[in-house]
Amino acid sequence: MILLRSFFLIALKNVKRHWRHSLAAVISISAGFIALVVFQGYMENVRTMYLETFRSRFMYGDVMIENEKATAAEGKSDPWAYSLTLDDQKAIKNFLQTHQSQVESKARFLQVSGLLRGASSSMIYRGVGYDLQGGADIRGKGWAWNTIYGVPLQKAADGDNIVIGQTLSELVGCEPEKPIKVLNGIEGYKPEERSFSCTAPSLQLSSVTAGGQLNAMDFNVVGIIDGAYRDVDSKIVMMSLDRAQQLMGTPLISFETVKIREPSEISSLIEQFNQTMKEQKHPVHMLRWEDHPVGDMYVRTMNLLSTFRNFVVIIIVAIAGLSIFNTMVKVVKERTREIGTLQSLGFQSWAIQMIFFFEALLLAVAGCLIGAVLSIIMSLVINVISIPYKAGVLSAPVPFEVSIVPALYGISILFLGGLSILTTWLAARSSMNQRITDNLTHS
Amino acid sequence: MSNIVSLKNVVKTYQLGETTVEALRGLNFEIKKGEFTALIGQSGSGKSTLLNLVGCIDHPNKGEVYFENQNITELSESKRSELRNHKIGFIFQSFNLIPVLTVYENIELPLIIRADVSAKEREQRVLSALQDVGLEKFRDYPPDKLSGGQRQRVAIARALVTHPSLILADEPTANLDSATAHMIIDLLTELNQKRKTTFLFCSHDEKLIGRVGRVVRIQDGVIVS
Amino acid sequence: MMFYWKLAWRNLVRNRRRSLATASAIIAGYAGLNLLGGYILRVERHLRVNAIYVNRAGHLSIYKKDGLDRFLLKPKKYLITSDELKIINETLHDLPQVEFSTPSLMGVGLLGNGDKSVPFIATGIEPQAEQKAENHPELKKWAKELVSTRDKDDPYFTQVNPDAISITKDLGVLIGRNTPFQNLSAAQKDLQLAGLTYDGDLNAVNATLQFQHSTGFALTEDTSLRAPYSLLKSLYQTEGATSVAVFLDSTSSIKKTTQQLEQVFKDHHLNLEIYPFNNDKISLFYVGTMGFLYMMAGFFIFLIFTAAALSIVNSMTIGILERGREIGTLRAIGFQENDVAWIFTREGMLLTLTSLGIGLVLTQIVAALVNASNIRFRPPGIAGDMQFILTPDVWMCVMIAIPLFLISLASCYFVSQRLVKKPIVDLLVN
Repeated sequence: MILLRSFFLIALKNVKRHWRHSLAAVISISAGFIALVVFQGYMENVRTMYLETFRSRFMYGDVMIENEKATAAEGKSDPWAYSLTLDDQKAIKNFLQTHQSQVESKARFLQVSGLLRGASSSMIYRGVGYDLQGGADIRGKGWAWNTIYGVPLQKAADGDNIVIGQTLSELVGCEPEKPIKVLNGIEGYKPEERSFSCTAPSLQLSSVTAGGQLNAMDFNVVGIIDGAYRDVDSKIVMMSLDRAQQLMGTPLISFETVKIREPSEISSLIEQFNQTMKEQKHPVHMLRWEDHPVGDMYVRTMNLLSTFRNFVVIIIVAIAGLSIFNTMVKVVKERTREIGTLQSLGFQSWAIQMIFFFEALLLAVAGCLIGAVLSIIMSLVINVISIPYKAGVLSAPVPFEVSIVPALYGISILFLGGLSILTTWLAARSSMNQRITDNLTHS
Repeated sequence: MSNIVSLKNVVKTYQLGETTVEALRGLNFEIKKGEFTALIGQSGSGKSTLLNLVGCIDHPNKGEVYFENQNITELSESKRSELRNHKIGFIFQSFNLIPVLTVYENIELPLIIRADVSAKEREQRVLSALQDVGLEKFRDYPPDKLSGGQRQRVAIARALVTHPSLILADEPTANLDSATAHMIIDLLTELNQKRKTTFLFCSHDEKLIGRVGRVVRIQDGVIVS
Repeated sequence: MMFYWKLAWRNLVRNRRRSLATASAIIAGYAGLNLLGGYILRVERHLRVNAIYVNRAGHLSIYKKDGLDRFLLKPKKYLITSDELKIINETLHDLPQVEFSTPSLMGVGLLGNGDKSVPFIATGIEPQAEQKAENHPELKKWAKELVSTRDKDDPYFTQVNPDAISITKDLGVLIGRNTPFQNLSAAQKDLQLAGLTYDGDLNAVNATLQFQHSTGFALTEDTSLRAPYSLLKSLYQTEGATSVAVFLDSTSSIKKTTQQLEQVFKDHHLNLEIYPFNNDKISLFYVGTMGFLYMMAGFFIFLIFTAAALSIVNSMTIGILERGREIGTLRAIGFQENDVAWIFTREGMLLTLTSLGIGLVLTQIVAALVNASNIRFRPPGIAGDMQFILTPDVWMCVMIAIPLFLISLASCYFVSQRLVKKPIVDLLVN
């Protein structure tokens, strides 16, 4: 221990003495650290935002329950034959009740589609009817107020109410009194009613029912939401489940979503549920929404971001690593005579390496600490400025933000520290292997 | 003979940590044209400092330095560089050859920046300098392939190629064995006699001191004899 | 002058390890930027041809004023009339940069097979324009996955089948029709399009399911229907158009054509607006995706340029500090400070130029290997998958190299200028 302390003190003095080289290495490490954590912080922010969008805002929770063939060709072609029957719904309810300690919230959904008629036009609508309170519970505190204008369905007075997408609202002649700048971040909107008005007092939704009949109902638009994706936003309609069942003329539901209390229990719950349904001969299954076609956009986006992240990390590692290596080679070469002197005094190779390791560690720690402070400042500034940007098919801009994740900082410190030590070991190796006399006469 | 170099009341100090060291203390010194002079003194006496001031590679804190009756302490850095290139040649203890250049290229180096020397004349001068130091056969060798004596001869050739008025040598034989040192001294003496170039050395080498025309002893920053 | 470059090169070779480490950083950074640029270029071209040819927006779309936002709300009000179409067509005919153009009609309705109906969003253009768009060389070059499988000599294009329609595979599944649609029986091909006319009356027309297409975008794959312009005119009972799609010889003609058309519209008092294909209301996916990619590229450029500059500064500083005695000697024999600084700057320049040259070669090799590997990937929002292709255009690589070189040059120069100003005496005892 005393020995290590001595080596550490020698290393510390060397770092101070060769402050120019130390500075060069520290700057390289800091720059690499900042690039790593800020970029990964941004990736993490995007991931969290997307996750919350699917999990809370779209009310997919953690798992979906539907007919096994609902998304197969036959299910798409004849959805009513592959919906959740009343028996299925009862079996699901019983299962979830016996596991209610694991279930945080749940909601049932019925998909609706057809033509929406405004004052002088008609458009396609696509959406869902759902359990209003269950849906609000799944959305959680952040997205409970999910309307940009008007009120969410669960807050509206009882009636034939719908909320529609922003783009759709423009097409049917609804306008806000005071338009606001919509920024879809991790959480929803400020929970207050922002007024809007529509040219038509109500909208007629028509559909072909489960029995093949044409049905139409008039609805009041109580709120305007953002459908996240423009092509969804131009068609989306949401209503209560009972109104949706009335419109579609069926007691069936399309699927159910569940939010689980403990994420670690999701897999076992899925297994138990599927086993139970199999035993009870219900053609129903539970799966994570990421494994469902609805999660395809999320999965693809995460894969793309991972690819970008890996690309960045490789570049940063290559550049930072080479820069640190460059510096450490110089540091070691300059002190070849010193190495020779230590060797002649009886220092073993491991001991001399230890001195350089401590130096590398000190530089890495200094670089990472400076990098960490600067990263935090940069992240906070970026988050306060909140630059909006549009990405892909999103209907509204999202704020450019960087998450400050302690784990990321920790991993980056370990990573860059390890890189510094490795490059130092490589740099010092050749001098260790030279003859002592050669080291002593090195100029 | 006229003075080629004059120093008047020159003071030079250095900071060594907290301490101020007076390397030269109100020094007065002249060198006449064509002299072959050795500066001797113990370590820390100020001889290298004096050499540096004469060679315009350092500035005095007080006093004046004249080169060919021109006050060089008032010159800009650019003019001093020009003066060094045209009028002064340097021979260093550690030879200070450029490792990536050949013998020919090292000798040619001071002429590269001379706009008044054509390529043809440059070649002639280099070849003449090579001849003077007897290294014609080694023109394409890199310095690391030469012995100590050969390297010093290259350094001498480099110092001569600009036809300087004054050549300054700081311990030119310190890194050489005695036989080689003799040879270098012979060469320098011959050049002084043949070309009438003024030489000023710093040295501990008794062999060299025995061959010079004038010995100047410096002690604690002043000339004592 | 050659002497200085010779000196620079030899010093680089002498300090091989450091030169190699610095060069590696620049090569990796430069190649990385080129490859990223190559990816972005490929994506941009793919999305561009998708927007222009696959989705029939053309390079320019002409709408009635406010029609782009409000057509579906009040189609009659925002319809481009037949008289207006006549003037537009005559104008376009006289512009040499216009390859072809077509009126385009858009609407919604229900697609029925007798048993069930599903909603559709239809676009209809003239078959001749459709033939040219589908077989355009740009489309084949940049998005061959989206090239229609129908033969360019198919009689559809000569309006032998005026009621032939095309739907996507997903819409086919919803309506209970499996691909390939050509193999369906005559009865299965018979479908009905129902919708509201622009006067608000319910109308229906018969259609024959003949072809399959893909919009290229996942979110529109289950509603897209394409029909001949004439068929949609009968369905919606109109002689006008939602818009006119103008296809130009290249994107560089967009600005000039827009100005020319705006002048004509002004002269004729036509209340029309012109949108380029890269307007976010025309091609949100293009604009949104490219915005995101450009932002990523900006981040990478900043990162790599900073890293390259730091590497050079680091390397130069160490190099200069190592060669203090050499610098002192050069100064002693008469080299000016600036001369010495430029010796080192040349080394940096040579190192950078060499690294950039190697980086360019590496870029081409990596791109060729990646492209030959036929890697498929599924970017978000795209229907199906696409080949991961890198197209690092040589001019793009040169444009990236120039600022990188200049940054490197500036870094070398400022570092050398600063460090060679040390007193000669201090340099000599280094």
